[in-house]
Amino acid sequence: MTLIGATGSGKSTFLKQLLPQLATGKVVSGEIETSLNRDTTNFAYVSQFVDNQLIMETPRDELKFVLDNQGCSTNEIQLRITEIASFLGIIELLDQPVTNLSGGQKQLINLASALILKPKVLLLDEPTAQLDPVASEKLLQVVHKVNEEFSMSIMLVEHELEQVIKFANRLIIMEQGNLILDEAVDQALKEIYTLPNYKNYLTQVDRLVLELQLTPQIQLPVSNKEFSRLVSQNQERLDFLEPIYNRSSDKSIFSVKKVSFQFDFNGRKVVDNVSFQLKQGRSYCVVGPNGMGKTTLLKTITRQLTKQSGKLKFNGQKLTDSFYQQVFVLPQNPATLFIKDTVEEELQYQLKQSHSELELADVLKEFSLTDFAKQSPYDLSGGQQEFLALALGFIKQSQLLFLDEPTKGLDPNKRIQLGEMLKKFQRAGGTLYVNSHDLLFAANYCDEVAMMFDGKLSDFSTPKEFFSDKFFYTTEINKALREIFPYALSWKDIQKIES
Amino acid sequence: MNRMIENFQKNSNSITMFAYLINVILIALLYNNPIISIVGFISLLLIATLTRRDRIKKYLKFSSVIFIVTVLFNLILNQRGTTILLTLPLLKITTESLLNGIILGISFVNLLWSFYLYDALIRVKAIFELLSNFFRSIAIIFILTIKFIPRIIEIYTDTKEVLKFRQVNNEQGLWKKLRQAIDLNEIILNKVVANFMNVSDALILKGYEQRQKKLGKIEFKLYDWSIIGLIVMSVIFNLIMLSLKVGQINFGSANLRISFNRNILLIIVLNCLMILLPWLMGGLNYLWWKYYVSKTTVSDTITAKNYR
Repeated sequence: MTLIGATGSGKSTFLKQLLPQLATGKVVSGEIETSLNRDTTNFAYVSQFVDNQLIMETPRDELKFVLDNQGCSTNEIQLRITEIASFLGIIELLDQPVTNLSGGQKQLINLASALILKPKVLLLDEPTAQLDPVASEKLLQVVHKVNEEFSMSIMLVEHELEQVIKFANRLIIMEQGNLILDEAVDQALKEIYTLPNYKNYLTQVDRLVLELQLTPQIQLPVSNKEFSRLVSQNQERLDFLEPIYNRSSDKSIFSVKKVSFQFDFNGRKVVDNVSFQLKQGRSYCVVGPNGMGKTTLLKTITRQLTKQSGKLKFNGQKLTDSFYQQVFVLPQNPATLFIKDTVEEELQYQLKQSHSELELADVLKEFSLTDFAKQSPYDLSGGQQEFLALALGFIKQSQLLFLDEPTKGLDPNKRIQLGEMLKKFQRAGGTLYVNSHDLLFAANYCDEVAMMFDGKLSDFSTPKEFFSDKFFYTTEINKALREIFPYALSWKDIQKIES
Repeated sequence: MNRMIENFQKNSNSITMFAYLINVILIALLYNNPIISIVGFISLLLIATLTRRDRIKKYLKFSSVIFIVTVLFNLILNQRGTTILLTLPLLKITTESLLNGIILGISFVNLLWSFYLYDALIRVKAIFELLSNFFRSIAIIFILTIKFIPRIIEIYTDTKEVLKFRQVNNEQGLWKKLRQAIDLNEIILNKVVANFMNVSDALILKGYEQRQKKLGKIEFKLYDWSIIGLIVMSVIFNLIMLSLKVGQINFGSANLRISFNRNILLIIVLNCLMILLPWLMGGLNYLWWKYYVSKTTVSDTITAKNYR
């Protein structure tokens, strides 16, 4: 079962009610009926915070800790670890220090810790939120395997359906604390298409099928293979819309020349001889798997880490302390930026610091934070924290914005809202540098895209050139239609020819 | 980590490791003869470098500061002695007071390096196995010391760096900078609390609240018994030497004498060996492994002969 809903609609709070030890707040009415004891032996829970769930230094110690707490014998511990490690294919990882594991591998270990007690119900709270697309797909396949082979009930909270919907049987929508839809997947997807607030939640392929109305009766979700067949049958009725990319300026605002960084004396070069230029008024996106150096590169070029070699220039000059005043960094964890007790105080502080003439109420409204003005920034949902942090950046009126995973925790509508805000910022002459796992966001809102792997950064190119060249690391529409419309990246790129 | 030390860590269980570290701390605490302390310091520095190299420089700086501060404080507080080296207003520095200061400084630094070793070698698993059966809450405090202090430092560094991008004008003046630092510490504490709440959730999910009070899950091998045997002998030896007042000086007195005899040499040699125990045991294991492999390859079995 997959539960979706807008950022801050109460999905995680609802999910945690199933496990009283984790539940926050107070149940004011109603009750949960179940024949199972609501404890950690029957209900296992995996959250989106990959690192915070790991207590021990190695996966073997982590799994042993869970079983030790249950009072299992040495023999039983050995057998259970063997079983789960073989099933999930993590035998080679068992004795690796967790600090050496990628995000996807860590989340697999978290899943193993949850499954080792043989629970009846698995609760997953955005388990792929911090993972790259390939790692997310692998994790969801494992979850699907658990569901299929052991008939284990799985309740998955997500912000988007792109990867999860093909594995789900039932879909629920939550809106402001209420369940507004609860149907089998096919029916639910068709209903979502009729709901203006939820249309954007549909996968790109399903959305395009429904938009184009290629066939009167079709079972949703549609696989890429089926979709490709449908489009090729109707090819003469369809047209590809050429994207328009922003070519506003040729003035270089920021340049990086042969920058390298490594953490240890003889360690791997996390950033390896990277060079590029950012031009004013344009947006750049760096994509790539977890742990390949995207965040380290961002921290190095913004002087949060000291580069070991190379040159950095801002507006043609070497970086000085004035650099901090003209740029803004939105870190991967936006809460790092917060220093005040309420959302309102946080914004007021920034307005005062930046001598801004903007009105607090307008900012709150623009970033959908009016209802949370008196709340602590730490109590906001992940997506709301992201918006608050972004509001601080916009108030500052920086020339250059560095954003690390800005779409993390945002629902599809909020992503569109974010994309529009960034476009507005660009139109005003601002430049953007974004790290993202979200390939669709990169394709829709960035002028140039590059890939980071093993510390090396590829050349920046337009999304059209970048993605049409990729086989696995591209959008679903591109995967499905590469033979027919090789440059199509999102559902909006294909339209029906009016007769 | 040096592969000999890694071998020691992999082959010994939590109790053995804990016993080794307690013995090192005892060695650092028991003697105040500067010759023993200096050799102990060199051994600690050597084993610390072999165990965790990446933080050595920072820790050396830190322990040097502590050493200097300790010596200075001692010079101010203890001005006894007859051989005057320097006279300043309100301060008389003598050879004895300087020596007292240096002895106290080295002892303190040795203790700091013992804890560096504790931090590098002890694992979260060991703390839970040793303490959680009896002192569930204390185990969590220990976990915080070894796992979350680095996390707090990470949060501090990240926040400090990122906040530079929020401030348009950097505060000038000592008082304002001091206020900024105090504010930053408060902010860090708030963030750390939020982080700990997540860890608390993780512990609940892993069933720590319902932990079964059951002993006997730590597996002892011959290797563990032999190391524990050596450690017990070392502790007994040191306690005997302590009761005989060997390796002790009349600390703080104006008539400070440093002696060196055969017993002191024995203490130095044995304690150095005990501090370097992980490296030596790893080395022994390595030699055994080389011997074992050579024995296998010179075997006369048909398979080995064919393989040759």
